[in-house]
Amino acid sequence: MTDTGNRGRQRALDCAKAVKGRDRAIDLSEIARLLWICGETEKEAYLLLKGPLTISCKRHRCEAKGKGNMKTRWIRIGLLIIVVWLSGCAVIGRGKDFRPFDEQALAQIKPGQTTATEVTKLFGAPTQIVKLSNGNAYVYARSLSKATGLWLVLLTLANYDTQHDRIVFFINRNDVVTHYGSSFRAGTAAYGMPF
Amino acid sequence: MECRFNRILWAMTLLLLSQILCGCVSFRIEKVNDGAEVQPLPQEFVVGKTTLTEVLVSYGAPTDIVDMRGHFALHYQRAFYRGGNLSVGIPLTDVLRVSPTLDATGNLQRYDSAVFVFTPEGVLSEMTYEKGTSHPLWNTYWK
Repeated sequence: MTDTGNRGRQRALDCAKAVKGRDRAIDLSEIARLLWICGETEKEAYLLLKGPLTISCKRHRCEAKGKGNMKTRWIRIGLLIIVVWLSGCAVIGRGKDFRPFDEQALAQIKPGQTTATEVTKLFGAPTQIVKLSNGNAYVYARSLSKATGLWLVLLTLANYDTQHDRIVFFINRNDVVTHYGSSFRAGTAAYGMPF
Repeated sequence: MECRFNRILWAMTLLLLSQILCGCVSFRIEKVNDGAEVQPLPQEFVVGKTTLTEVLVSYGAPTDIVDMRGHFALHYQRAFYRGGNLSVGIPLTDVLRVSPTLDATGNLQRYDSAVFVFTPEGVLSEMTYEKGTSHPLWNTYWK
């Protein structure tokens, strides 16, 4: 046995004596339990002794294990892994392609009477003008996009939803509105997950 | 004391392992939706009879208007995209100057579309409908 080894054994024996009581004899069968108490904090030793205690010795080395302590250890490790893996960030975004037009002004449009000039007065410049063989189509459009993102460490989830408001006026060669159609769905754009 | 050391060693190993894995393995799922659902063609729509007004009342403003040299078409469309990416790699650039990486990527863009073709007078001359989103995602990848 080396000096370091002897010093270690002596320190362990002193600790065991301190736990048991200086004037009391230490039985060989309880040395492992006493050494275990020396090596642990009071709380851990308490938890250990609450559960079934197993002491196993190989040569000069004894080891004590308690079931209750193992369970606690695995719960801690599990929690640590969950926290590390699930740490991430969530992002919510909103994008609007906005061209102002008044939905209520549609009530003033009378096919066969309203002119192209009146349309532009009411709704402003169109987003797009499509040239047709018998006139033009004025298109007014705006959109609303909603984005949801969840960045976990291993998993990234992203969802984008874009909805549109559109008004279309069909204008003949005499610059009079012949037909119009509208759909207002921008308000239905929603945040969500990609499932 | 040895037990406590072992425990710390285990915790450190697990922490290190999870941190390494975090940088190497990643899985991404995306969904992009553009536009509202396009309804199937109503049975009341009849070629040669249905007018532009009826289609506009039923379907609203189209996504696109296309001039077809005399005739014109209204196009209603919804685009639906799904994408997935699995990446596995070992970042060894600082040590070996090479980083083995395996990427598996798949994405699928599908469309729901309705097209109505009209005569210059605004009478329906042709119509068609396709519901792309009814195709199953997984099987459609491999076709």
